This record gives sequence, structure tokens and C-alpha cells, in this order.
Amino acid sequence: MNSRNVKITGDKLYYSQALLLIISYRLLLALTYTPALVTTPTNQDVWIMLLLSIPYAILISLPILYLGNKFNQYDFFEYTEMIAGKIIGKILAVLYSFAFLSFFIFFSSVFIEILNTALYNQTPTIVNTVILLATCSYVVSKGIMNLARLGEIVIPFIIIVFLLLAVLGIGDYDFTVFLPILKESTFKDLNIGAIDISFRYIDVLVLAMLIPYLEDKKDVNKIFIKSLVCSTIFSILAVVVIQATLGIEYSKRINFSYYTYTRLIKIGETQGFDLLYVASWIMGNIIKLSGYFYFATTAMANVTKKRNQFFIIPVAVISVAVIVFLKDYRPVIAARDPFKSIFRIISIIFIIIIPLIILIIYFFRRKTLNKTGGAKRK
Amino acid sequence: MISKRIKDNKRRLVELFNHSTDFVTYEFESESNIKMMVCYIEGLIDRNILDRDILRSLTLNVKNLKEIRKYIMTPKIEEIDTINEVVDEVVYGKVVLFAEGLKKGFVIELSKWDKRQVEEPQAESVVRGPKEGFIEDIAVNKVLLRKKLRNNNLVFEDLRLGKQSKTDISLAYVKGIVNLEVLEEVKKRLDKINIDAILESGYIEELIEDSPKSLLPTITNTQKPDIVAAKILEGRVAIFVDGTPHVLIVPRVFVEALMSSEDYYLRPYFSSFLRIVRVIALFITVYAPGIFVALMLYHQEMIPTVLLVSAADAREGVPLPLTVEVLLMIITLEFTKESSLRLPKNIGSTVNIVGALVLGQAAVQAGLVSTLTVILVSLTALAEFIVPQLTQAIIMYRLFATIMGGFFGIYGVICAFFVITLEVISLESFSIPFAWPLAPRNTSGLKDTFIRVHLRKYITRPKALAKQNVKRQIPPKGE
Amino acid sequence: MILRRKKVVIISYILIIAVLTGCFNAKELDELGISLAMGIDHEDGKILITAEVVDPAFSSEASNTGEGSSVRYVQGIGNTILEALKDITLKFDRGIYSAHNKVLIFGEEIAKQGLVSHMDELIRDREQRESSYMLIAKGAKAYEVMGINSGIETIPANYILGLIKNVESNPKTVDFSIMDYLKHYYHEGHHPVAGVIEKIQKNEINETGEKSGTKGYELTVIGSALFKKDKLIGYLNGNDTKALNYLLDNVKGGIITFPATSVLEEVQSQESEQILNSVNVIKVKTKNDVELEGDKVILKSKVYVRAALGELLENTDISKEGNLKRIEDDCSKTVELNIKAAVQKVQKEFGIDIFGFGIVFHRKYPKQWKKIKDYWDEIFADAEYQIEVNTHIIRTGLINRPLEK
Repeated sequence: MNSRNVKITGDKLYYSQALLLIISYRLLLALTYTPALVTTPTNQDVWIMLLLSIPYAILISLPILYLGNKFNQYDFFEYTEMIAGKIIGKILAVLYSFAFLSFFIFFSSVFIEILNTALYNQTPTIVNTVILLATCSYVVSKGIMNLARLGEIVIPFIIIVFLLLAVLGIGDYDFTVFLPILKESTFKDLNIGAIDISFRYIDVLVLAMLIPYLEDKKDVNKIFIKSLVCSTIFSILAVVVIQATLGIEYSKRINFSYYTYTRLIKIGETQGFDLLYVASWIMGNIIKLSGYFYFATTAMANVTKKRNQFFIIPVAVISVAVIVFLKDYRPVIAARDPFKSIFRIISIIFIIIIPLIILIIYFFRRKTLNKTGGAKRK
Repeated sequence: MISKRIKDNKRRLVELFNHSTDFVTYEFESESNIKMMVCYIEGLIDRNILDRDILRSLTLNVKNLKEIRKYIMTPKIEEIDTINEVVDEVVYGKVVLFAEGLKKGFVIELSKWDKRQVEEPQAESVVRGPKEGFIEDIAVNKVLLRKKLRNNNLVFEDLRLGKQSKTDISLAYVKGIVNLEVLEEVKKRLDKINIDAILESGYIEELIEDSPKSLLPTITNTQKPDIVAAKILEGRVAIFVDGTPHVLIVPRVFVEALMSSEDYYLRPYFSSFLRIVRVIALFITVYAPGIFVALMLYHQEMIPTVLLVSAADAREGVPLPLTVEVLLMIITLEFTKESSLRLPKNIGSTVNIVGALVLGQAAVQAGLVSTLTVILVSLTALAEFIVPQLTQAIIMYRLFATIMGGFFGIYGVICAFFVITLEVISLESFSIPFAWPLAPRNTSGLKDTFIRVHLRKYITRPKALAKQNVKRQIPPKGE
Repeated sequence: MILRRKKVVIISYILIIAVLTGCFNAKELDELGISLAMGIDHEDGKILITAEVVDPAFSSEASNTGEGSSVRYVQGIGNTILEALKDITLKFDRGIYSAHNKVLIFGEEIAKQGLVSHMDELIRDREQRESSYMLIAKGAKAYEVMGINSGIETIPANYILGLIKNVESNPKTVDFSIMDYLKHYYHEGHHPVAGVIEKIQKNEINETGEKSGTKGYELTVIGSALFKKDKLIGYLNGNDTKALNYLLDNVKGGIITFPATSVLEEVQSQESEQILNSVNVIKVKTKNDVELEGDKVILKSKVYVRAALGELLENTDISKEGNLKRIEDDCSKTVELNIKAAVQKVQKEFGIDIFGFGIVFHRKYPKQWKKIKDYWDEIFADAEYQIEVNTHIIRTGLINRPLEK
């Protein structure tokens, strides 16, 4: 049994699998609570801000991407260990496992929150949480390969539903809300918003974790750019659809914008298209959360040199406790501020600062590394 | 060792067969007084030929020991030296001839026993396509396959398994096309089998499967030679087992359950349509009760008002909770299916009528179940028969999805979907991913999955399977 | 290892099912009181909610015996909407399920006090759909109009729904949902309007075809209600509502009836006997525009009507291009006059911009808008209005010349 397990995780990720996984991470963000709507400039120019965020996102991801390309045979923790030494490497692995865990817990809380608000307002938080964690644990226990295969089946469905719903509501669109363009927001506002939004794109970390599994390592940059462009287009589409249907002012007031939009779709007397949305949204979230869960456990496995299956159940139990505590304390999305700033700080540290430091160390120690590590790479 | 004396041989053989009454020894003498003896098992051989072509010719002609072989008038003769070999040969329906003064025996192939006619298999009947199906005899089955592929590259490799049953097993594959890794793996796994008896190919299936504990079989079984021929031409390996009409084919992929041999004999568009119908049926039969329960209990806002009102009307006065009601109907459906399956045909139809009347009419009129539930469960039953190869797994999945839907609504159904899907896609069949070509996706493989394109478009064999001689056809030039 | 996980997963599912068998959120259909219409009133300083709940046994066609009523009316009183809704549970055996509300009817009194603060509950709660239609009971309490059904539908809410849907063939009413109302409410320089429902008397005609003495009631949705921000300040009549729909580009059909000018000269002396022609509207396209000339604001509309000839009472040969052109011009002129009258009436009587010229201004002069947006309504009330209508008749029906000899 064990040998087979190792074999499955030892398998390779194909280009399309990795691409779909990464697109889904950002698409889900847009589908869930569309953070762009409440990011400055919060008016009809949000879509321009989103477009502007592409170069910023590239800029922010550069350190990680550079390192990932340079050391594409190793996973993130292995090369940090090589560059910065064993102790620092271990410390970083611990830190990153906490980062992934905190992403996992944050997004799980969001997921549970919407579930409880939109569908099950009488179900106790713990029930939904345990079911989520049980399902995620099962997905994670099957390894990244099966997660990717699952994504290959589920994510196209999510994208199709997303586009279909966008088309179905076409009768209610009012594009005049986007006028006048660029008159109500300053260039500064747009840039601040773009930078803010690009910090939400934490999935470059996911890509960094996926690199060692990739079949063809040359695809890394292609995947990054393609996923960035695709998911930005999807985000823009979501924002445009929501604003055109709900109006600028009202869309700022709702917590779960795309859900509200789907509730409004009406063809003749047929309603209830939100079911499609909810179904695809739950599917996407399970994939996304399982991903964070998986990387949190791999990071832990990396520190302790045990297999990541060992950590699944303990981590799941702890997460249930934390999520239930968090959720029963305060709504995560509606009471945005504390969580938003915590989240931003975490992403700044883990996407920019740490990789940048490692990169700098790498440039200083490049020569010694080339002798030892470079030779090993060949 | 075989003794020179017939009497000794006879004594030892009778003892070895524990005085079993179907073991027959017959001593006779030729006209030149050479004593001989034949032994065989009653009913396994052709007595006519034994009398006419062997006993008679030997009695009349044999003058000395060297001539014996000359007067055995059948083409297949072997010589053996030990008593144990005699036992082995006799149980396979061969006649062994001893002669006084010779330290060896002649094995004469005379096996003949009553067989079923080659007829259309009921479980896999088709409208268009060959109607012949395998029977319980491995030799006939091999012939049926050979008739499909008259080709020197079609190879049969025989082996015997089962300490007690000594069942004939035969691997069939096309040399130059077969996936060698799979072939090696099959041989390796068959070698590891050490069991009393192989009574049906199901034994082999369970013993060599990758994941014996999964609900889905990862090995195909079929009764039709044309299917076997088509599959081994894609690089697969077929396993024939004596005594059963079911031939195993490895490796299997999930989408094969959605295909039928007829798809390739009918017009491509219609076949594609049928396949999509099967996909929908598969989805409905597994998830419809779960989604129904979830909608009716948790998400009433998503049901059109008119339907909701009439559903509420139907539910009015039904004593059971909806989940229990649906589960009850699913179980009752299984009762009907199982009872009509095991009974003789003429009684079976009675059971069906009783089932349909009792369940459909009376239960609704008595207010035990609502009409919508009856409609829904009958729909799932209908859909289930469209994908007969998956029946064993479908019922479990359906129950799981229904329970999850009943307790947690659509969220539960989706969690069930994840568990089920993950279960399917994490399977492997002889190192081929079970969900190929869906996940991992393969574009050329998808041409033969939910749609069936024109035959001209199938230029290569399935890429996951065929590693050598990949081209299946050379399309005419200019196309 | 994997098997153990699977067991853990299945065990945790089962544990939850076993331990918490409550089916927390599950609502069996026979526990639901499906509400199809809801009336919200202000009475004696409290909120009064009237829900129209379907009785499934009477409404589904299969078991409709024709006796009894297909709906029940339940009422609850409270200080807020939520409190009133909860009050219903004390008097009615099934929980009110409002996800299928087709229409929300607000009483005149509550509409005058302002609606948006009351709407919060309706939007915050997941059950109530934002897409249900919104009507104001003209001169009445909401519950006074709710029980009336003089249509074919067995359920009164569906009867009202049918009336609203008929806007497609007669634009003398508006079909705005709660969402539309909110959207207009949030627009800067645009005041919302809502549909109106009114109880009117009708003559019952008995089996012998005579008017019977008894007078029944029926409902009509003619006209529209005007809001300043979210407070009801008045109503528009049918023709003005039609003009409003033209300017909001919300016309999907209907007719235009106009006097024929060719015969006008002949019959000038007898003004009472006008000859009227009608066209069926196929498509209307409106473009609103605002122009700033110095300090003066000029409102402009361009309406393009595509129509089919519906009724030609004037005896004219329309196979001649000139005649058809003249009919088109007559039509344009009437539309022009009607719209202009409506706009001027709104400017004078109410002084609020319900046509959305403010939005156009905002778009065209974003800089100036910031200065004037707080008193846009006054500017609107004094602004000059210009309109240009183009009619294009593209079909003439089955006959060409009128039947008259």
C-alpha cells in the first residue's frame, strides 16, 4: 500500500493541470466575495484598476519566479535550505506551513461564512466545518496528483458555469454605469488599488510549490503569465457583470456579490440559477482549500522528514477548532478590517519579503552555490 | 515411473484416483496377444473414436510393441514417463494407453464433452453486430477469437491455475501491438496466484486487481469475441478462463463503461448521441435522488413555484420524512430487481407487475409515498439499466449521495461527489490511470469518449495503452 | 494508509449524522407556508405584514375541487418588519417561506414615510428575492388590494403578476423589481419610481349578458408612483407613465394613437370628431442628452419609434410614399407632445428628476456635476426640454388601403 502511495505522489503534473489549478485559485476569489469591488477606487473604474494590477502582480512575483526557475528540480523548502543554510531553511519551512495554514483557515472561514449565510442559516458552524475538513482531508490524503486530476474535471465545469451565468444575466446589464471613465478616480487611487489587489494573488506561492511536480519545468513562466491574464480577465468579467447589474453603489454594500447577482437572473419566470452557482462554487472551494491544506502539510513534512499523510488528521482537528472559534466570534467578510489587514501583512511577508531576502543571499553566495548546488543539479 | 506391468500401473492409478467411479480402465489384448490398457475419465472423451479408431485398430493390427504408435489413428499423441503425468493428462479428457512391457504411456487427445451452443449472450445483446458469444469451453472461445483475427501475431499463452481445479487459463494478445509492461504485469500477478480453485473468471479478476476494495471493477469482462478483438487491438491483454463465458480484458478505463460495441457499427452521430445519453443517465442514476432530496428539504427557493406547490401538495399527508421515503423506495426498487432476477422468467414478469402495481399505484394511493418520489426512483432505475457495467457501484454511490443530500443539502451532495469522483480517478488499472482520458486529459483519447467520431479519425491507438505500432490506420491520401 | 483515511472520512460523516440528527436546516414541504405575495403597511405606528400563503391542496390542479380558497391571508404586527414576520408565527401553523414572493405591495402610508430603511430586512435575509416586483397600493392599505382576484389564475398573486407582465403590451405601467428600485435609488441624479396597484369597481356581467346589480372589484396597475429619494410624493397617470417608459427606454410594445392631420383642416370646425389612427409599437429607442449652454441646462431626448400600422381610420392611400410619411409624422408629433407634457408636468408638479437626466449630466460633465449635484433637482425643474421623435412604419398589416370606400 505504501509503495503505491509514493508512486502516485511521485507522478508528474501536466501543463494544463497546473494551469487550471492556479486559475481556479483566483477565479474563486472573484466568485466568492470579489475583493476588487471594495478596493480603491471602488467606483466604475475598478476594471481599469484590475488591468493595472497585472504588471504589479508580475513585479511582486518576480523573486519567487526567479528562484523557482533557477532551482526547478527542488521544492521551495529544499532550495531555501541550500541557499540560506539548514537552520534558516527549517525555520522558513515552519513559517510557510503556518502561512499556508492561515490561508487555509481564513478561506475556510470565508467559505463556511457564506455557506451559513446563504444556504444553511440554522446549521451549527461545527457541522459544516467538520464536513468540509473531512472532505478536504480525504482529497489531500490522495496526494497532489489526484487533486490535479480532480481539478481537471471540476474546474472546467466551474469556468463554464461562471461564463454561462454571466451570459444568462445579459438582459439586465446596464453598461452606462461605467461612464464616465477615469473621471472620478485619480491615477494614484488606481495604482494603490492595483497594488493592494496584486497582494491578494497569493497563488504564486502555490505555483512555487507546484514547480517540482511539473512535467516540463520550462512551462513555469508560461503558466504564470497565462494564469495571471486569464484570471484577471475572469475577475474583470465578474466585476463588470456585478456592477452592470447591481449598480456601483449597491454592489459595494453586498457581502457576496456574485451570489447576489445569480439570484437576480431570471429567464421568463424561471429562477434559481443560484443553485448552479452554489454548486460550482462549493466544488471550487473544496479544490482550493484542499490545495492550501496539502501545501501546509507538505511544508510540515519537509521540516520533520515524515510523510505528509501523517499530519492530515492532527492539522484537520486543529483547523476545525480554530475555524469554529473564529467563525463563532465574528463574521470574517462582513467585519472586514482586522482580517483584511492581517491577511495583507501575511501575504506581503511571504510573497515579497522572504523570497527577496533569499534572492539577495543567493546573489551573494552564488559562487559557492554554483560549485556545490549547481553541480548537484546536473 | 510407469511400470512395465499393466497390472501395477492399473493398481497405482486406481489408488491415485481413490477408487473414483468415473475413472475407467480397460484392458484388452491384440490378436497377437499383446496386452494393452487404456484409462480415461468417463464422459470427458469421445467413446466413438476410442472404439473405432483406437481400440479396434490396435486389436486387429498390433503385432509387436513397436507398432503400437503406428496404429493409433489420431493426430495428437504424446509419450509420457511418469504416473503423475498420467493423472494430469487424464483429468483433461485425454486417454492414456499402456502396453505390457513398455515403460511409457501414450497420451491420446480425445477429449469431448457436452457443450452449450454458441449463442447470443443475453446480458450483451445487440441490434447490429455479431450475435455469437463465448461459451464455457476455452478451446471454442479461442477459436471464436481466432476467427476474428486470422493473424499469426495473435498469440495465446496457456497456463494452469488452481491447486484443485487445475483450470486452463489463456492469455491472448496481439504481438507487436500489446503494451509489454501490462503484459509483464499480468503475468507477474497471475504467477502470484496460489489458490485452491478458479471456478470463474471473477476469481482471477479479484486476485489480480489493483484495488480490490474499490467499488468499481478495474477489469473489463465480456462475452463477445468482437469486443475482445477490438480491445486487444488497442494494446490490451485478454484472459480466457476455462469454464466460463466471461473473458477478462486488462487494463480497463472508466469510460469503457459508457461504450458499447454497437457504437462502432452504427452511424457516428447517433453513437455520439447515445454516449451522451449514457453520461446523463449515469449522472442521473447516481445523483438524482440526492439532489432531489437536497432541493426539497433545503433549497426550496430554487424550485419553480408551480412545481413547488404541486410537490407540496403531493407531500401533504405523507407520514415519513422525505429522506426516509426516498431511501425506502430505493431499497424497494432493489427488492424488485433482485427478486425478478433470480426467479424463472415467467414468474419474474409477475413479480415485475406486482412490484410496479404495488409500489407505483397502491403506495401512492395509500399515502405512504408521494408521486414525485415514485417518478424519481423509477427514473433512476431506468437510467441505471443504461449503464449496466457499473451497476455494482452505482447503488452504493446513490445511497451515499442520497444520505448526504438528506442531511446536508446540496453541500452534502457535492461532498459526496468529491469523495466518489476522487475514488474513481485515484484508481489505476495496470498502471493506466482509470479515469484516462478525462483525468489526466488526453485530447486524442477524448475523441472516443463522450463522442464517437468517424472511424477515419481514429488514426492512432489510445496513447496511454499502445506504446508500439501506434498507427491504427493510414488515412487515404488527400484527406 | 489511504484506507484508514477513507474510514476516518466516512466515520466523521456518520458521526455527524448520528450525533446531530436534527437535520438542522431541513424544512419538509408540509412545514412550509409558501408565501406568494406580501403586503407591508404602516398602521397605528406599527408595521403590519400581510402574507398570501398558498394552500397546496387547493392550488394544484390535480386536486382542485373548486371549493374553498387556494390561499390564506395571515397578518402580523410589530415595530419592525422582522418583528411583524415573527408575530405571524404565533397565529399561523406554518412558517412563512418568502423565497417565492412574486410581488411586494407597500401601503401608501408606509411609502410616504420612506421605504429604504424598511427594505433592509428584505435584502439582508436570504429568503426574500431581490427580483420580486414592487407595487404601491394607491390610496389604500396593501392588504386591501391583496384579496382581489378577477382573473383566471386561482392564486391572486399570480393574477397581479400577470397584470404587471402585461407591461409588454401596454406601457402605461412600470414593472420595477426591488432591485431596480434600489438601483435607481442609488443613482446620483435619479429618483426611483415604482409600480402602482389600485382597486377599482367593475361591473359584473351575469350569465344572461346583462349588467347585474352587484358591483365587484378588480385591480389595475395603471400609472406609477414617484419617490423623492425613498419617500412617495405622488403618482403619474397612465399616459404620463407611458411617457416615462419612453424616456427610460423601457418600452417593449404597446400602441400609439394619434389624430390624422390631413383631415384636420376639413373638420376643424367640429373638433370633437377627430379621426384617429393607431400604430403598434415594435421597438423604441431613446437617447437622453443634456447640454450646458453657459448656465443654462437644456434637456434633450431623441426617440426613435419603429412601428406597424394598427388601425387606420382615415381614408388614405398608404401605397403612396407621401401619405405614409405623413402618418409617421403625425405619430411622431403626438409622441412628442405627450412626452413633453409629461416632462413638464413632472418638472412643475414634483420637481424631481425621475427620467435620469442627472445621470446623463454626470456622465457628460463630471466636473460640473460635483458642484451642482446637491441641487440638481432644482436645475432640472427649471431646465428647458427639447424632444425629437422619429417614427418609422415598417409593416402595414394584411390590407393596405382602409376598408372605407
